[in-house]
Amino acid sequence: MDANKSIERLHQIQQQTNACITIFEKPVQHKKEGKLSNWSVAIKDNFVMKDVLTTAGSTILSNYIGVYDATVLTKLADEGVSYVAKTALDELGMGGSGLTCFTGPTKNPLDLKRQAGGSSSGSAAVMAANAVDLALGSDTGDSVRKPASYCGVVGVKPTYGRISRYGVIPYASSLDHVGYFTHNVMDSVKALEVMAGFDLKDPTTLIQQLPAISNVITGDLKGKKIAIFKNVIDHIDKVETKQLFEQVIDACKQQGALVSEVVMDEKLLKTMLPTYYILANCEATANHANLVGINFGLAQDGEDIYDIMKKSRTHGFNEMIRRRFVIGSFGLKDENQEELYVKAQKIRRLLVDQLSKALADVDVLIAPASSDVAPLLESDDADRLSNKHLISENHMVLGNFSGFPSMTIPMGNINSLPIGLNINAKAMDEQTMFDVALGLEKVINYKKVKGEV
Amino acid sequence: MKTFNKEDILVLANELQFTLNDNEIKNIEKEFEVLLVQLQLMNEIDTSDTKKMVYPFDAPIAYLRTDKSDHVLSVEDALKNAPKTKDGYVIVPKVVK
Repeated sequence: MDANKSIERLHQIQQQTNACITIFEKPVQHKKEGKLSNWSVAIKDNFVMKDVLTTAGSTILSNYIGVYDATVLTKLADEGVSYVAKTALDELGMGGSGLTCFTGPTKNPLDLKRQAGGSSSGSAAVMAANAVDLALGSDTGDSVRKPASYCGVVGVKPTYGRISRYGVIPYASSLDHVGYFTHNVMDSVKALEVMAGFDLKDPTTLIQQLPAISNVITGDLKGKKIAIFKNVIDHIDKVETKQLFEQVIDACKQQGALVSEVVMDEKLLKTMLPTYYILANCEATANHANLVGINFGLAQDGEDIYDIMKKSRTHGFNEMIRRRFVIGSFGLKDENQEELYVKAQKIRRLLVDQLSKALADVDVLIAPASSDVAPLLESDDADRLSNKHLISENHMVLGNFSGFPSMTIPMGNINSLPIGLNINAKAMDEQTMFDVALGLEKVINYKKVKGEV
Repeated sequence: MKTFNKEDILVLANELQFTLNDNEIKNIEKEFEVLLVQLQLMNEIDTSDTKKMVYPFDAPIAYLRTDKSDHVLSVEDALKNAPKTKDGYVIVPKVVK
């Protein structure tokens, strides 16, 4: 879409949604011609961009100006995109609500009383408001795929290492992925073909090249082996969600797909969330030890460097972040490490083994991306020990543990609010994931919700 | 089973270079209670024969880059975001007074 129109639209929705941290005065375009010329792109504010404010949604970085470009930004720019905005996120990417950015909560343009989801809240919101063609996000637990579900757009987390993370402010390095939002599956394929690739600046990037996908996939579901993630369905109590999912399954069968069910070890699945919590917080507390307000970041005055650090970090991180750092740091203590961090790393392997087994004889594994539509802004914390919370609401973290590609597409609407379908494939096999997603997109034929702004 | 009291929390916060008020400490204690129950679920899983998984893929990167400097940040850029600088250095309060 026209980048100037895009900026105009962003201004139109900003006051009500709070989706952006920076809206550019004019589009930033380095090259006119390219595979993605005419694409207007928003960037989650944890991607470093030269000479542009890059805050990661945190007070401590609220004055940080990027001094280089993240690799993925250069790649997209080389193919002609126009950058129009940096979007809001949960502080440092650590949250799932979009409520904890230092600039205030992001509101869902489809219903302003509701969350857009997080942590890539602003990117999901600007997509829902049809303000851009592509929005970059990052996904450590489900931070692209869950907001995509709440905002009725496509959200992709490719294979771990498929897109360079050079220049992306980290959360938990063993789980962090660059992800992104588009309006349809084919756009998500085209975007990945540009963004994917080995990067000397990020030693975790894959050497294996992404094959050309866009001119290969057909979306033909005939003969495709689709497994249903049964444990997730079993703990969803929302009837409408189950009905929408069943409609998808029926349509798949009509198209000739071979549908089966997978039941994973329930006892093990209940450990997904605590395992994630331990790993992510332990890694985060180490990753963010450099945010001290001495050499960059928002500094507070102090008597000596320790005083400066202490005051800057107390002022610079919200309570939730400091809480998570304390718990992460507890898990890394010598006396606790074996029982907490290492235990979590071992359970991670067992969980990934389950997922590998589930995918061994099928093309994809699918389930609703969330058990319900976007929560209200003031929604109370869920019952964090329920199976619904431990399994159905947070199953997509398996994609981060494993590094396998995983994406969300719109599955339908419940009372005029969207809910997504999650599709998982084997490691490096984005092609099959996109092929099935394209087929599902056709049979679902999603009708976009008209938003409030 | 692990325990976690106010003193532990304060020691950790001090090591992490930030402070917590009483309300924040209470919230951490509450969070830890939930975590303890969740950890119990983890303890029920037998991992005695399981190797830890540190990264998604056990695919070692085997390359050597050429021995020349690459993507170097200039001193000017490196100091651009520092609160106080002088002659190419970051200024902090005097250590020896």
